[in-house]
Amino acid sequence: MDIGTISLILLVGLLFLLAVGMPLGFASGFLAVVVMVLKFGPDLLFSEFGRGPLSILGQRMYGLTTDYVLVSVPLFIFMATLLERSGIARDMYTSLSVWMNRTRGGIALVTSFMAVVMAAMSGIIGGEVVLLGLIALPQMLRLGYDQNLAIGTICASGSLGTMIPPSIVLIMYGLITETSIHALFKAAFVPGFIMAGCYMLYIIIRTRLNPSLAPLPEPSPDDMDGYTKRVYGAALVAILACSGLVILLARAAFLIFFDRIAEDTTMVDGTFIASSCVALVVLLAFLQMKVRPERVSAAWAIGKGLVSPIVVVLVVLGSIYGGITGITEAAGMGCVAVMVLIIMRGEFTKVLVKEALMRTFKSTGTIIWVTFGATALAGAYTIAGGPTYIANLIVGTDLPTLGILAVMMLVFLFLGAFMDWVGIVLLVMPVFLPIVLRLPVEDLGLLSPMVEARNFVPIWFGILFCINMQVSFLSPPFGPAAFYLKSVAPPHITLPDIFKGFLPFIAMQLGVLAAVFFFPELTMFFH
Amino acid sequence: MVEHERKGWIDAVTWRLSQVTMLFPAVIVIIMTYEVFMRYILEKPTLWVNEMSLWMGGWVYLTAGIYAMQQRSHIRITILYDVVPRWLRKAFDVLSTTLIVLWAMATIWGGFNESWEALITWERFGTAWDPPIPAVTQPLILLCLAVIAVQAVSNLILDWNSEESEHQDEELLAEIEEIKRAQGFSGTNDTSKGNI
Repeated sequence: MDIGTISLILLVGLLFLLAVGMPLGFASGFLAVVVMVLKFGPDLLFSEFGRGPLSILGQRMYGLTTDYVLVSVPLFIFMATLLERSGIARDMYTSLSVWMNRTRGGIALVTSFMAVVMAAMSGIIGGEVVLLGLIALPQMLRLGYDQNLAIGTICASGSLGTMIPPSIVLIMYGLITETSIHALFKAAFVPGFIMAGCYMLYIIIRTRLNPSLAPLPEPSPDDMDGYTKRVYGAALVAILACSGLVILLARAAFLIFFDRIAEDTTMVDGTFIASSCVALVVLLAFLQMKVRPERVSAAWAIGKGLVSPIVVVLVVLGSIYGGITGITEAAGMGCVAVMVLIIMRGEFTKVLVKEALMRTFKSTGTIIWVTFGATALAGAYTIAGGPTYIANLIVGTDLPTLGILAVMMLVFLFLGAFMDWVGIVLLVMPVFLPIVLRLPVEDLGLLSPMVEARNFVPIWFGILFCINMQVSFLSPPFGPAAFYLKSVAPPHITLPDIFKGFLPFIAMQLGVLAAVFFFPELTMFFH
Repeated sequence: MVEHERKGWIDAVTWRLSQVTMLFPAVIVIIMTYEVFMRYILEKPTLWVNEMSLWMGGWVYLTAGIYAMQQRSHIRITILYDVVPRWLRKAFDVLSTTLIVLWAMATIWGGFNESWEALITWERFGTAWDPPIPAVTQPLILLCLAVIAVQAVSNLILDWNSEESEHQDEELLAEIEEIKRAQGFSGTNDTSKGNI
């Protein structure tokens, strides 16, 4: 049978099976069999038990199980479930809100900022939205914040978990398209922060223009004045800097003592050690003479909630970018860091670990089996010549390059409103990415920045996809963030209310999408 | 965690198996920590940790699929499913279960010889430590597919007369209760239940 008919049957079959509620992974797996039957005919496939072209299905699955990066998926999920069950986020909120409680819109800004920090710790949404909804939403509503602003801030910022590295969406994209996940993470930084920056700027502008959207709390005698805040802030920064320097010096001492210095070992030379010692002495003198120990301990009491998140972010992102470990091991080290913090905070119980492991196991099963089914389908469809056929079909139309890409973005947005991101990465990417790679590279972006860096195209496309999925978390009718928030919001807030609160944030996401679409330079800073 | 209830012996087998394999992610974290310690502090990197985590990862993915099937938590779209009458839903369930069984059978049909050979020749991974990853994982894939198909049939039979349909909402609520409890927001607000 010719590939055009097979493609059509496949599309109709997929829509039908999804509509009858068949699980996505199994529907794809079954359609893989259908594609093989249509291509090779049942006689060839089933003539002899145990062999034949159908073996591709099992081989594709086996290929996935031997991909080391995939191990990071359960580990990142494990880390996120542990974080959700610890009080780390709650303490971070308490610490942050002390600084911002006299600022207009302060709690919304704290929420956004906190979401960014949590996004840099783990790569999952859901738990993040629930946590913010539990911690920040009651505060904002009690103070009389505008409901839409509060809801939008929580869900939009909470979704950043899959945009700011480490991100499970980018890990799966990298895995399927064989793109460097390191490069994807580096490229996602700037767009991710632009997005977070937009949210914060929006909060600031809206609340300045219309202060009634975000009333200030009643002044209380415990509030710190500006001077105290500055002193305490300086003291906290000094404490953190001291700890950092001590760690670096200990590392240098260790390396020198055991004679482990190689050519490329940095930060062990005499100048570095001398200058850090001087800096350390100056900082300690500042804390001792200027700030005074009693104020240092007061500052520590207020700010210590920020330390645990900083430690986790440093462990995870530091391991990845410091080149110490790969992504999988970084996820493992993140789990260890969170676990150590949980034990230090006295929150460790067997139940906590057991529940986290069960949740991890279940989420892993659901994500990975979609991957299994879809990889079998992608394998079968490739053998049947599908991607080439679609590529020719699309390139053959007279659409300009940007038009083709724009259609793809629309497809992502449309599918994103109905389907889980895993399914889209696995089913659509094997078809779309080869087309993108065949487009004339000088037409990509208004200033064609990728002519010199042709292999950057898949990375840029991955980031575009990731931004699309940010929209999909919020877009009606099935934006998962809305359902997560609904489940922790007071009952009078209905789903339509929640989606209404999303609108300005979706507009900002589309704005960032357009910016990255026309200016791929935004993803190329650390190229 | 609130689990889906277990009925019948197939559920019991799945559950017992899952009790063991769900510990593996924790084991992977522990051996990885050991590896990082050995590599950076003692400078004696191990040969086996990476491949062991890879191998155990495979077991986790495969068996987690069976557990997710028993828990009815595989990702699916229920827009249409939730609004159609009960008899049509049953027809949909019969259809998807049949297709899952067909898929498992076709995959086993095509891949049996290769897996069998990997098993009886005890095929190894071809690396320095050389664990028998293909010999174990390849047959395990087909085995897990078969078990998933059996579990799907078992689910179909066990759910035949039950009225519940909104698994995913219950799932979500259960997870949120857990987080609330962990965060100390223990007052379960029953008002939010049922109207999500």
